[in-house]
Order: sequence, then structure tokens, then C-alpha cells
Amino acid sequence: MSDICLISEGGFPFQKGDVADWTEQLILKQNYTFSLLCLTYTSQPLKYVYPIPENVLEIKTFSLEHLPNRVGFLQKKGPLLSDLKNPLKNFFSEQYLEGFHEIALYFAKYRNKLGRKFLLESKEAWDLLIELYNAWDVKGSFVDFFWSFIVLCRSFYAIFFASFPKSKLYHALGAGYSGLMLARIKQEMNVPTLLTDHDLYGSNRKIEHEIANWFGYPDYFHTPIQKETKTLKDLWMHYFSNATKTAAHWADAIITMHKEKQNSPLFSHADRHKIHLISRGIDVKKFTGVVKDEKGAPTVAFVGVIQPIHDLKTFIRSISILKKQIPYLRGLIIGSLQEYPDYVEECKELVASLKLQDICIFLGDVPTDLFLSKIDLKIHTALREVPELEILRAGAAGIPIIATQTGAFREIICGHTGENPKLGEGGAIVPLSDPVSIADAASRLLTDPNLYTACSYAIKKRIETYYQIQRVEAAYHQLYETYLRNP
Amino acid sequence: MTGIALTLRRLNKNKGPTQIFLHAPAMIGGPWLITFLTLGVISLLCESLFSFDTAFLYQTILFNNFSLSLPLCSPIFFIATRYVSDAIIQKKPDRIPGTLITSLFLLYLYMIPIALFVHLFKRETSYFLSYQAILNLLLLSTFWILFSFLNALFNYWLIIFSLLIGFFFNALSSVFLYFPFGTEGMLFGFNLGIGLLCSLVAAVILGMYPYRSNWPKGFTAYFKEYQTLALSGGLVFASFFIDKWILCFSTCGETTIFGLDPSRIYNSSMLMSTLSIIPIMTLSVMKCETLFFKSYLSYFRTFHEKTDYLTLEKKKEVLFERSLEIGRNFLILQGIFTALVLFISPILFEILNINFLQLGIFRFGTLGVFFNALILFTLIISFSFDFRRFLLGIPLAFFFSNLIFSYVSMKLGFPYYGSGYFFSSSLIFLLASVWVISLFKNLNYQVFIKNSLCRR
Repeated sequence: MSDICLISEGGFPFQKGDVADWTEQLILKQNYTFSLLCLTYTSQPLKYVYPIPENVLEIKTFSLEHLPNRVGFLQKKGPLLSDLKNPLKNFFSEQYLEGFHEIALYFAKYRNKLGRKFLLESKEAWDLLIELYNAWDVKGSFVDFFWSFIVLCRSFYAIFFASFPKSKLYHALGAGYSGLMLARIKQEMNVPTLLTDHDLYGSNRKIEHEIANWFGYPDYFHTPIQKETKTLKDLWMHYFSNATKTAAHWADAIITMHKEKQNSPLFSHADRHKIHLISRGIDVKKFTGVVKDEKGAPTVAFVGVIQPIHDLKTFIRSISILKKQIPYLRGLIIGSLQEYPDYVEECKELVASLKLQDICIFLGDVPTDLFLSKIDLKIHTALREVPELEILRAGAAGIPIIATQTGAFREIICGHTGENPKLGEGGAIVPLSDPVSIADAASRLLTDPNLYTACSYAIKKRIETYYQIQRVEAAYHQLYETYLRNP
Repeated sequence: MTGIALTLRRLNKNKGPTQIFLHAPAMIGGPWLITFLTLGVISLLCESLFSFDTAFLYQTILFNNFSLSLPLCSPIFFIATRYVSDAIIQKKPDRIPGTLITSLFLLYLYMIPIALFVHLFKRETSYFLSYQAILNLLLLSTFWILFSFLNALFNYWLIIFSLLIGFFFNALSSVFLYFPFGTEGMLFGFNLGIGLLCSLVAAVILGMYPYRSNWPKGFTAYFKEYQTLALSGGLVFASFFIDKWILCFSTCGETTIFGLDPSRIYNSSMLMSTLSIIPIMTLSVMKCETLFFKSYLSYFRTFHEKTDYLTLEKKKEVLFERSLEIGRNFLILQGIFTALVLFISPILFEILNINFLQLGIFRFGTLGVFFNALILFTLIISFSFDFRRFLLGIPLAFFFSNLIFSYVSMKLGFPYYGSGYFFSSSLIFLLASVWVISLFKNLNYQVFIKNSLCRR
């Protein structure tokens, strides 16, 4: 039995990313034994992309797309599924806590008899779907409702079939399905549970759905909510916000990354005393020694997985504007090109149409650290809150940052309200999807050496002062100690 | 944490809850019509023009080859039909020539040994006749495979109709070749006719799709994915012949009747009786395409139009009513026509100079084929919706009930010949009607869950 079981959706050790990096550091720096429960979206075996630390005792994966292929001969299917109807209805409403509790009890009682054929493919399951469709009075396409419901329910039901490693404490690294898994474990085992909300799950899903352009039918998707009427968007949003609230309710401690998150409505029902603030941190010493390469053209960089939510297109458009003021500009695009090939293709087409092929260079998934000495300015155009590690690394190397007003970026770039002494701005905060503002801010920083130096100093000093990895390690160690010693 | 986004993107690419299948009437009705028109016409002409024994060899070879080729080609026939249909929907016409070549290659792999075994082992009266019989089986098999590609052509009903007429005249003219050239000449003439029809169809297909023949991607995987379809296809056609095969054994247990072979009497009578269904069946199958498929397409279009459930239910009701309407019209028209044929059959026999011994079997056959056509109608409908259990269950039930009832009727004696087929087809029709109506009532469940979700 391990001391701590970390629950995540994807991430460490199967998928590269900021949260995965953060998880690796957490495991390496703590003197506890760990087990990992990775919720995935594939039944295929996954390859490790990180070395497995010695203190990891067990790694379990569970596909959220998989339900047991059990026929499960059950008498009276109808009454059995009707027992699930009201809890499901409740979970999508304000009575989500009661709903989740009843569903957990239901699965605890019937788990061995239930399976995909009964829960999703039986005539009774279809009747339940139609009944809920009529009860919710969902407006819009039934086909999309059908797929939404099936996708949501399949992953939701899967949570109750997942087997998890035995551990003294369970720590979910996100509020979505990991959070629901945490809630289930808490109900079944009554062990200490921690929830780190790396990104506000509900709001992130919201933006993802907006970007998904909902099956090409955005009109009804955005239909104003009428009384007693739901759109598909509401269905999804209710689902994910209720998932987050459920996870928050059942967690013994909630850890957020910055102050703004603590006031999120998603945590409004959670006890205030169990919400903790632990910012992300980096090993600052690794980056403070970076010596600026003064040769070459002024270089701005975009770092992150190339995906719609990171809004690379706005970066490219801002380069197009900026190039008129700084002709010898260079734009580096660093990040994986594999995950969203269609979007990457669109971005490359945009680069070609704006005739920026000589300026914008797609480097792919290369270590950012190698390029820090060559980057003059980092631009972060994400539409939602994303982990800040890349920004912290760049800031520690003295690179000013232009970022959208999401997540903890304002705190990192401009300092939090209680900062003493005031260190000044380490770059600029710009509105979402605004290439003109980005180009203006970048032009000011790249053409005014005094401003650049001031920003470079401010951001470097702020990271050194507030975002040291040692602070994070100590804070988590203290939390773990508290809950392991006093379960 | 990109799982949800990935799922959404995958769903975005979803065309709908199921793949529709537009060509069901042509694909099931077409071969049925061609087979029974040809065999029926040949039987009728031989019975009325020659003495009973004269053209028997020719009739037997053709009957054997039709009854073997159709069930044995069916797995490839139905899989190719499905694949071609999907290739057209997915706008990948370049796959068609390659699929044609691959299908023929797969077909010859097993049909050549079968043809050699059947006709060399049996040793026809002369080597020339044996070679012609082998060629006939291979040409018929080739024709069925080519037929499965007709759904790739525009106005394919016109082509099917032309083929029907082509087969009719081929059967007609080949019979008259007996006078100058004997049985060998008849078969040679028939083969020449099919050879020409095959060349014509192949030329039209390849002319319309002038792409390089590459290995069709994922074609073999279709055999796994649609194995039920392949099996049920074989059973559909085998079930039409099983009573005739069973009655071939009738001589084993009985003496001849007035010096005649009972199985020969049976086959001739049965095949002649199928002619009674051809005119209205042809009209109904074509009508099915125009009337039924209008509502069918309208129903499936709702998936792309992103309508609500109420609209979907209404479209389903319209579709159900339209199907009932076609079935009812067919039932009334064919019912009247069948009654008329039964009533005037003695006069017909007298005019056409057919042996009156066959009258009882002919009457049972006429009634049986009426229900058989109705079974075919339910199969066409369920083929369109990919009701796989039905498509397997009904042909299987028909196959075994026809086998058992025909065997019992054979054992009961000559007066009962044909009653097995009649009882079997009427019983299975009842079963098929109840089943297909219950499936129709739950059509949305079938389409969304059984045809879509269960196969993901």
C-alpha cells in the first residue's frame, strides 16, 4: 500500500505537459511512496514518456471509454434502471450531491451485475435516455443530445467501475473525472482526500465546447436559456460544474493555484477553511543563469501545445502586425504539433497567407530551456487558464511576458495586491484574441530598452521571491503530513 | 486533459447514427427476379414445346447452376454491395475498379474448384456439355458479382430492367436453339448471352469509374464487420432453393409416377409458378424504391438536419405507414392476381399443353411464392435498416422450415408435393411480419443503439 495515490486524467507518466512535469517534480521531491491512477480515453496500452521514479509503487490505468462488456442476466431490467433515473436527474440539477451519493450507492450494490450492454445498449437504457430528454426539454438536435448523453454517461458510469490502488491518502490532480473518482473513493473508503485544481475544469470545458463549434451548429447551441429549457451547452456545463462541485464537496482539502480561484462559484459550497493556496513553483536557480544572446534578430516566442485553446492564430496575426514596425523580427513557435494536426495545418496556412514563412518558425516539441537565451519576449495567447510553468521559467530567465488575462498570469506579471515591495510590471496583460494589443505591447517592449530592462528585472525578481519550488514542496509536504497523521 | 476535446472532435466527424443503405430493393429483388424469370421461362417453354425428357438436361444444368451460384456468391455479393455503397457515400469512387477485380479474384478462388467438382464429377453426357456447364456456372457467378456493382451506377434501375429483359430473351432464344443444335447448342447459346451481358455490365462499370485498380482499402475487414450480412445473404437465396434440393431426393424413396421423375415434375411446376409473381413483384420492387425510399431518406435526413426527437418520431411514423401502404398494395394486387392464376390454371395448362400432373404442385407453388415474395419484401426493408438479427433469423428460419416441411410433404406422397413450401413460406411470412413490425415500432432504438452504438 502506498502513502499517496495520485489520480489524474492522462498526464504523468504517459503524456508530456505542464501538469505532468509538475506531477513528476511532486513525486521526486516528496519522501512518500506513491501510486498512480491514470484515467485515459483509450483502451490501448500507453507508453511511458517519463522515467518512473523509484518511490512510485504502482501505476494503474483505466479507460473512461470502457465499460465492462458484461451481459449480466438481470431480471426486471426496467425497475433496475428506473432506480438510476432520479439520481441521474439530480446529478444534472442543483441536487447534484444527493444525486452522486445515490448513484455511488447504486453502483456499489449492483456493480458486479452491470455492464455496457445493460447501461447503454438495452432498450431500457434507451427509454431512460428518452425520458430524460423529455424531462429536460432539451432544445436542438436529438442526434447531438444522444451522443452527448452517451459520451457523458459512459465516462461517468466508468468512474464507478474503475479499480484503484490501495493507499492511505488520495490526491486528485484535477476536478473533472479525477475529482469524481476522488469523491467515489471518499464515499467508499472514507480515507483522506486532496484535490488540486490545476485548471478550473468547468470553465475550461466551457471554452473547449465553444471552440468545438458544436457539430457545426452553433446557433442553437447558443440559444438563450429559457425557463425550464436546456440547451446542449447547459447539459455539458451542468455536468462539468456539478462534477467539480461534487469533487470539492468530498475533498478534505482543496488546493488552488492563485487567489482568484478561491472565489470561484464552483467552490462556493465548499468549506472555506479547507481551501488552500499553493502557487506553482520552479527551480529558479536553473534559469537565473541564462545569458542573453544579444546577436540576431529580435525574437518573440510562443510556447505550448499547438491547439485551439492556446490560440496560436492570434500570435501569428500579432506577428504580422509587429513585422511592420520591426522588420527583422523572428517568431519561434515551440510546442507539440502532433495532438491537433488539423489545427496545426490551419495555422501553417495562416502563416503562408500572411507571408510569414520566413519569420514564423515551427520548431515542434523541443526543450524550451535551450532557446531561453535566444528569446527576447514571450507571448502567451491562451484563451483559458493553463499551467504557468513555461511562464515561470521564462520569467526566471528575465524574459518579459505578454499574456492574456487568464488564470494566475496577472499575479505573475503584475504582482498580487499585497506585494511588498512593489516590483513593477514584468511585461503586459492583454485582452483575449487581440493581436493589435499584443503587437502594441510587444513593439513598446522591443523598441524601448529602458522599459525592457525594467520589466526583465521585475519578472525575474518576482519569480525568485514568490515562485520557488522549495516553497511548493514544503507546502505540499505539510499538507500530506497533516492528513496522513490525522486521517 | 484533452480527452473531452478529442471525443468532441471525433463526434464532429460523425456523419450520423448509422450508415444508410439505399440499394436494398435492387440488391435483393434484382437477383431473385432474374433467377426466377429465367428458370420459370425456360421451364414453361420446355414443358409446352418439348416432351418431358427432351430438354430436361438443359433445365437441370441451369437449375443447378442458378441454385448453386446465387447462395455461394452471396457473401461476396453482399459485402461488395456494402463496400461500394460506402465508397460512394464517402466519395471515394476510385475504390470501385479495385473492389471489382478483388471480388472476382476471391470468387474464382472457390468457384472454379466447385464448378469443376460439380460438373466433371457428375460427368454430363459429353465433355463439351461439361465444359459448357462449368462455363455457365462461372459466368453466372461473375454476373452476380458484377450485379453488386450496379448500385454504383446512375439510373441503375434502367440497367437492371434491361438485364431482366436481356435474361428473358436469352432464356427464350436459347430454348429455340434446341432444334438445330440440341442441348449443347442451348447451353452454348445461353452462355453466349450471359457472356455478352457480363461484358456489357463490366464495360459500363469500368467506363464510369476509369480509375486504376488498386487493392481496396479495408475491403477484407468488411468480411469481419459484416459477417452476419454475408451469412444471411447466402441463407436468403439458399432458402428459396432448399425445397427443390430436398425434392431431388424424392426418387430415392419412391417409384416414379407414371414413368416420370417426381423431382423433375416438382421443379418444373414450382419454377413455372414463380412466373405468377414476376410482373407485380417487379413493379413493387421498383415502387418500393420510389415510394418507400423517399420517406426513408427523409427519415435519415433528420440526422443531418439536427432536428429534435419529436420530428424524428413523426418521420418514423410516416416511414412506417409508407411501408405498410406498399405492403398492403402488394398484398391486394398480388392476392387478386394469385387467385386469378389459381382459378384459370387448368385453362392455362390446357392452352400451353402442360402435363396436368403438375397442376397441384403448381397451385401450391403459386400460393407459396406469394408469401415468399412478401418475405422478400420484409427482408428488403430490414436490409435497408441493417436489422442484422432479422436478416439472419428469418432466412435461417425459412431455410429450416422449408427444409423440414418439404421433407415431410415429400414423405406424405405426391399429392402433397409443394405443400411444404407453401406452409413454410406462409408461416415464416407471419413470423417476419410480426418481427419487422416490432422492429419498426422501435426503429429509433434500433438505429441509434443497435446499429450504431453496439458496433462502435
